[in-house]
Amino acid sequence: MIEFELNGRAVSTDADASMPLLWWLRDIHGLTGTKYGCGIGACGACTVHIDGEPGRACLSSLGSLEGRKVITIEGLAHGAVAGTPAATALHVVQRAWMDHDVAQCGYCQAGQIMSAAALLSANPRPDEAAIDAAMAGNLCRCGTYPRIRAALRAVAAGEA
Amino acid sequence: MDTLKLSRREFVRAGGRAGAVLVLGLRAAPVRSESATSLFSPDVFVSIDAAGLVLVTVSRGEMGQGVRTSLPRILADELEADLARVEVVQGLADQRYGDQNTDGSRSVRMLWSPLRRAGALAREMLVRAAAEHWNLPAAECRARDHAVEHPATGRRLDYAQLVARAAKLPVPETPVLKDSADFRFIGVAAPMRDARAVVTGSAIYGYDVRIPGMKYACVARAPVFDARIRSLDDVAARAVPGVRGTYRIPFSAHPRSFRPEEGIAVLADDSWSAMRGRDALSIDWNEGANATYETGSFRAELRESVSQAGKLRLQRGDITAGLAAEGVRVEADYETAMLAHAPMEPPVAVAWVRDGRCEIWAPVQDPQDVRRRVADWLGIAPDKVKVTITFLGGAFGRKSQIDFVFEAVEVSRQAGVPVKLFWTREDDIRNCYFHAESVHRMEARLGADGLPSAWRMRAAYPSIDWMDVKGLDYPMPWETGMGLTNMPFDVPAVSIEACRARVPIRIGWLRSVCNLWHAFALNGFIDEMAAAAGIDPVSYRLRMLGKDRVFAAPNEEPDPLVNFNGTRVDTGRYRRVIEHLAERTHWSEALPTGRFRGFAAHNSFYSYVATVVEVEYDGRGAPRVTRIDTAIDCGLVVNPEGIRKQVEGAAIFGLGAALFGEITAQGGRAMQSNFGDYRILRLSECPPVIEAHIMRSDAEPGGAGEPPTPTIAPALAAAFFAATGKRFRDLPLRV
Ligand code: FES
Ligand code: FES
Repeated sequence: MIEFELNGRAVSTDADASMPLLWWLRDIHGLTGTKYGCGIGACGACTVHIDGEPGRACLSSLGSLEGRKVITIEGLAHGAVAGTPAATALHVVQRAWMDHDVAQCGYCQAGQIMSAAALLSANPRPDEAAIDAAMAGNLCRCGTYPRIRAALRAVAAGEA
Repeated sequence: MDTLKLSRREFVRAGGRAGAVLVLGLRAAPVRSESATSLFSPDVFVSIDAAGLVLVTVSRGEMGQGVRTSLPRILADELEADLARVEVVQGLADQRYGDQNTDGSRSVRMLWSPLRRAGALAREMLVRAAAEHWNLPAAECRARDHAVEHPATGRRLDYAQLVARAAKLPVPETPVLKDSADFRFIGVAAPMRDARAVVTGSAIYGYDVRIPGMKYACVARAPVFDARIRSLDDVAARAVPGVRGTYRIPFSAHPRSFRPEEGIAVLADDSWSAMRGRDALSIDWNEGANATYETGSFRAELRESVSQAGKLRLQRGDITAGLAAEGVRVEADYETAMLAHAPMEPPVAVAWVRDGRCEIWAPVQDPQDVRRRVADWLGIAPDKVKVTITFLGGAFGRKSQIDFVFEAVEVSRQAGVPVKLFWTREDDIRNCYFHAESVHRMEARLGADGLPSAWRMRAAYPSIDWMDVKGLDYPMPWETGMGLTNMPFDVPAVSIEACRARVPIRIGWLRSVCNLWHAFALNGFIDEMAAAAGIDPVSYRLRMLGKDRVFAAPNEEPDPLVNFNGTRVDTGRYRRVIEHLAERTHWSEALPTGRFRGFAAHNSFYSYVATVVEVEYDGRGAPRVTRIDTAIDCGLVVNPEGIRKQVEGAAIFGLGAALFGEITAQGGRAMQSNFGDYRILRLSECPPVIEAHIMRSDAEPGGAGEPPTPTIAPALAAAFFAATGKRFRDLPLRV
């Protein structure tokens, strides 16, 4: 039995400890916001927060999560907007993403947003180089990078 | 030909028939909902409920190109609706919508008229309903903001109050469309309608579909095109915890169309167990003749091929005499590498076959095509197949080539349970319908004015029509028609030849299709001719265009509904887009030291595009792209923000492909398998500035998703030449 915290709630599972978090989240637990893009840590589509740090769900075995805190895109807004009902809450990054009309197909965006949110909590005023470094591991085949940069700049400048 | 069988290829070839389908869709009897008293449904695309909520059906797939944002706005504009009271319904596969193939940059192009008409006729009926209610002439009433008003008396009735009466009125045959000066939503920038669902992770893509009892399957499929299973040992696979069984995907004989390769599917309780089961399979493949396919020797074959005459696809003037004449002779070969689409969401489909019916949920570009082909596969009537399109996590052409749907259907048929058939990234890259590799040979003789008096173009690449024509080994006219035979330049003697190329691997269409390599070769060679003549490349292009002309594109049948005036190439629009961009980028002015740039232009999908790529270079390493400017004339623009996003995305897609897009083959297999060895552009590699210059145009809408892609590689190659003095004639560019 593996126990950890998922989006603020305690969860336990008797699934195989070597199963990657990604497949457990999507197929067994039923949270499909975290996406599969490569399975080898090369695209960032599956980015979640593990103890506040960005992590790749496709490379994180369930066994490695014992006692840790995992946040997925579905839980991102909860802690961020204290007192807001979950249904209407948006994290500042999610709002900036909407304001800058970032998404095209949108498939990579949960991972982008999780990486961006992790960057901002570690470094609230990232410069261009910090943005490039933090976001380089999140691929977007539709090419939304200019808008991701613009949205992040706006948050960093306190405009979002 | 069955009128619904409209793949892109057939569409290009037989545009007239696509038009016929559309007309049928439009003239279909008005559809009444089950509760006709409370609902007003004057057309297949629109209905209004008792609360006045407008439901607009979007019959195309959303894959990032913005159809769920742009299409409803067309209808809502004509309807004078309040957008806050408009909801989108995703259309199932249904002939009533006409063509549903989300491909060929044509959603707005083909639905522009039907949606305007649907909105206009609903509006006219609402106005008449109000006029009758007030007992006033309809001409004195007008629709505004989800209501009908009588300005003279200040009377006003909300649509909610009018639908019951409107539903009883006859549907007008020829509703009057709004004057374009009165558009309120068309031409106004709009953000993505589904943005909230996307940023919260609640948008459902094909990969996210979950239905009760669903099992997960992945396939070990032919590693080489047409390989056959010699023997299988699946004992270990079946012993993997969570695995439910293995199922054979049968071999499909040629012509195969989109039917899948032979393979063994492993069905399991979850994706991870299915993958582990697949890893435990032991399959002995008879790889067949295609196992000798290897990029190096194949490229040599293509080079040999263009050294000989090919099939004539366009002839003008006397090419032999022209090339033999006096004057400067220019010659060059251009080569491009094989590419994979690699949409961020790999191919995936959920299917449930039971009781002589089949239900499918999948990120597919053409639901009607899926329905017809799956019905055929299962031997049931098409109306027994229900196809629901999910959000598409990118497609770029891959998801209209539906081998993955057949696999899902086949496993569900055999296993008797709902099946999610998913592809891994490795599956996606290895078993792609690749964008083929190509070789072009260009030869020209320049006249006294420096312009080409004779120009021969030879093109060799495997034809996509292998799917339907067994043993085909020449590019087809529709393929050379995507950028070569419809080129706008006024050259007295021209010969365009399609040269032999066999098909040793599955190839298919990818964003912009043949335009990618044609634009690269054309623009590259124009620059070389311009340099030989000592003329600036932009002025050279303008001179080559000659006097403004409009001519019918060869290899296309004109059709007023499908391609509007698009079967015609308008060289005036081509000229203006070049001039516009030259002005916006101050092309005639010198750049600061260390900055260089290149220019390219191309017409495709009835739109006209020009691109300037600017690079920075200090003589060391590779030049670095500092900005990309693209001007586009895609006719009348519905959502400028949507076009802007397509231009940005196309620049990044094109730049990544030009810099490192390359699939190589050995032993008949793609040597790349994931993002580690098949690079796509990263954010840190994205130029700081990408700017779209959208031309104002009243022409009928043209394509926007594909046209801004082909100009990127040649403009980049030209910028690299300007920086380094070296010509770049191969893609990807090697510095
Ligand atoms: S799926 Fe985890 S990084 Fe790509
Ligand atoms: S928005 Fe489509 S992959 Fe990023």
